[in-house]
Amino acid sequence: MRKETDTVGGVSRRSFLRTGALAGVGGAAAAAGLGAAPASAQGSPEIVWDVETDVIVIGAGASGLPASIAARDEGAEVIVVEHHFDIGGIAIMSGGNIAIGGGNRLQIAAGQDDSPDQVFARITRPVEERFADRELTRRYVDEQVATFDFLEANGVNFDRHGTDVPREGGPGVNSPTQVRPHEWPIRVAVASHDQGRNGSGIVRPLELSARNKGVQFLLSHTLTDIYREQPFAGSVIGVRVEEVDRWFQPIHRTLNIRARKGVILCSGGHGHNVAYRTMFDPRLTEEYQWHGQHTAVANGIPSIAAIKIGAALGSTGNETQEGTGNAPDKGRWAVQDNYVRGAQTPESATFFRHRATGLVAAWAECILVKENGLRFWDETDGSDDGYFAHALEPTGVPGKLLGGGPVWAIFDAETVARRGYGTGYPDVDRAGGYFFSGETLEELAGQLHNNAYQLRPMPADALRETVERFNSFVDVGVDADFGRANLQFKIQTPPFYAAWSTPVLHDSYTGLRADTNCQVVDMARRPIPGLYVAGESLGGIKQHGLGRCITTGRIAGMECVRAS
Amino acid sequence: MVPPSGFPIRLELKRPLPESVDAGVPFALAVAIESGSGCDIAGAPFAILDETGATVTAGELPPVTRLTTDSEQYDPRHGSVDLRPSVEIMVPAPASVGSFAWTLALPSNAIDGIWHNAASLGFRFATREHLTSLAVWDNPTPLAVGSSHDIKVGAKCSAGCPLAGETVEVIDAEGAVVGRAQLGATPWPGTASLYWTSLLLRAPDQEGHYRWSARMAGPALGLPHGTPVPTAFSFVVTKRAEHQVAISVVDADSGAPVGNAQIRLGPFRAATNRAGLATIALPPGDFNLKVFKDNYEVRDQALAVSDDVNVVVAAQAIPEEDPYARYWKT
Repeated sequence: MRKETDTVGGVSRRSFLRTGALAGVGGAAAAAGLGAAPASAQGSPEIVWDVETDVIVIGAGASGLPASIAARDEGAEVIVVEHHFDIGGIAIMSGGNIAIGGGNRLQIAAGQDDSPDQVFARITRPVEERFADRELTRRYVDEQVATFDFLEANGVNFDRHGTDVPREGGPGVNSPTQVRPHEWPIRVAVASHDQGRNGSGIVRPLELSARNKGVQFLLSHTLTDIYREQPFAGSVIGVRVEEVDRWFQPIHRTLNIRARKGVILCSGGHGHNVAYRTMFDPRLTEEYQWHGQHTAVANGIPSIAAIKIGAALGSTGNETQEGTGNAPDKGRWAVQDNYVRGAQTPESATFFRHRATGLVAAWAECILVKENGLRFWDETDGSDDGYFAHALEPTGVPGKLLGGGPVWAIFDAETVARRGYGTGYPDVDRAGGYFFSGETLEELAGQLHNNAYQLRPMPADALRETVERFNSFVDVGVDADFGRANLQFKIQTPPFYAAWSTPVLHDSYTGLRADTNCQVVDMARRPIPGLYVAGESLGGIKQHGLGRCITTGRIAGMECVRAS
Repeated sequence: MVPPSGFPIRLELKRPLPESVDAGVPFALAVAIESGSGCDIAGAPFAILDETGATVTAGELPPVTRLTTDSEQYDPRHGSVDLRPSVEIMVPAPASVGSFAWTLALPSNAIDGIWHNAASLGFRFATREHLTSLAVWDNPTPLAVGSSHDIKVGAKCSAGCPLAGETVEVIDAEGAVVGRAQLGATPWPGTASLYWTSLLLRAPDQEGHYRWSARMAGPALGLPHGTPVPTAFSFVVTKRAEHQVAISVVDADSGAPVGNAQIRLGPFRAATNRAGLATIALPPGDFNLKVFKDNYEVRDQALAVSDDVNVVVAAQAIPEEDPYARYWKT
């Protein structure tokens, strides 16, 4: 039995007890799906609360931190539950560009003409954002200036970088009017060390402010269930959380935390949950990795727990809208989480999970082949729609009619020399199966089945014929198959290399449905008392990034306390 | 005599054996090994027995690997990790091609003064011929009609057999042997066993796009080798160059030289130096000049070559200024 004085993440935890009524609750997280029945113990008087507080925030990232501070500012006691052993979520890996405008202090100082109306117009365009929830978006843009002030009041320092000119977002992710803070000055606390990790300049000051104000953090714990008074009625009254190890694996110790005022879900997206994401796009099978998966597991579990007590999803059209949906990225090479700006270096505390830094892709110095050894598109083409549509096309693996399988960048020793690529630790992940070499193409092809997602051996003759054909295109400067113009380098000098270059997923654009106070609603659009949502867990706002998370987090934190 | 009270030892394959292994080459047998006594059984005697019970090899068990969740090697990214103590034993595969059912046998034995029962583990495997494959590189293109040039040809045995002295041939599109050489004694730098040679070839007398291939007879080695996989290579043959074309690539805004810009004129390729200059020898004719450089945009331009000529190309910079730049309208 644990002592009363044991602490985890600063939260005093009593010895926890289980009742018979609660014993059946635990399957939700493990199942990571929607099939399991909701807990029969919802609202049961048998629940033994190990900890009590006013507000529980699930997730300590870009939405959870402002939510916790906002709730605390309203006078509530707050506990933040975080899956990782550190705060920050994916935001700590971010470049720190916050899409937040409407006429904030920096914009005024720069003489920029902006207003909430203009922001609203920019992010509710009739084509690009046609699936946005305009009511929620209106509240969102109306809170942006106040949220900018909130960030500065809580220590986020924007002074040096200023602001970009307000402009309309492109056909991809929409990020009008960005501000960017300083990177956090304490290097070991930055968490990621490639170019520009200014996201640390958001989350570290907010963490410091939150702790100074009395917010408590329970790290290395993940939510498994949300308790409601009745299975589909009444208020949300608390949560069940489970301790996890440094690999996010449950270690079978749970806590019941009572929330006197409410629970705010700020747990990020759901992209790392294959069953969940394929509800919206069935092509996104297991081979597609998810940015941040080794820092902030976007596993959708909190959203699933909310659905089990009656929550609805919102604006799901955003998720699959062509060209602006789940935002896949061509990515880096030779590392599992291969998001283009997601490089981690060995000094990062999470590098043991990342295993490699990865290589900056050289599209004009490689060919891309799928698991069958065949090219499928012009490697140098930046038009995402065509590239990803073809990358995700099935290749004929028996029984696999969804998803395109791994994509491999094939190159040779001359590319390695020209680019200065490292071919061992820490640059590439050989042991994990994301980088291979061979002294001939046959030997290279024979290695690839050691990747977990290469479901059958790559046919060596297919790879050889593909390379020989491509080399013949280089001879004459004409790609007769895919029209690639840049054909400067043959693939001929041993050793040969194959680097993981499979599209990687980035954002989630749908989540729980909420009203304009970020209060979760049920299938009949009735607000669920005591349940709030923000950031990438929230559906309805069609905009990429930190501005969405921070602003809705602050709204949810405020409104959760005010409503109670 | 084995005391009936000896502790049991349980043996299981830690990971499945590959479908087949190269004949005559040792392969790793990873065995999960659990002792009922908890003793460290490193150093205990073992034997590998063939189907007849004859001993193939024998020795002492190597140190036991005990992976924990704190180990650097612990990696649950692709599923649960087998944390059972294990040893890796190198098994000498037979030199012939076939299927085999062998046994790992641990005799009863006293370990740390504690008696352990005998244990055994049967395992099946197949052997295969070694696969030899080839590569051709340093294959220049385009070539002037009738010119001579060196290429490199290398061969690799899947088991790393020494191929020094083996003969490789180059054959043209009609199947005629146009070059022959013996592989050298030292593997190509950066490889463990890619044996290679330089081979002098003469370009055809007619302009065109050619596809030749390199091949090798089965190595005359003691172990079974399959027919080596040939490889094709291609090149373009053009008229002889008569003119020097000097190309200068400059930044359209600043006029600064643009180094390492890739230049293409039909089958001819070059890259600019730090001064933004590249010189290419060309035959007379009409060409389409293309320039490629990361973060620059350059329009193609027609170039008629009838004399030595200097060309200046303006490259328009399109820098990516922040991670989300590609999402902006420009």
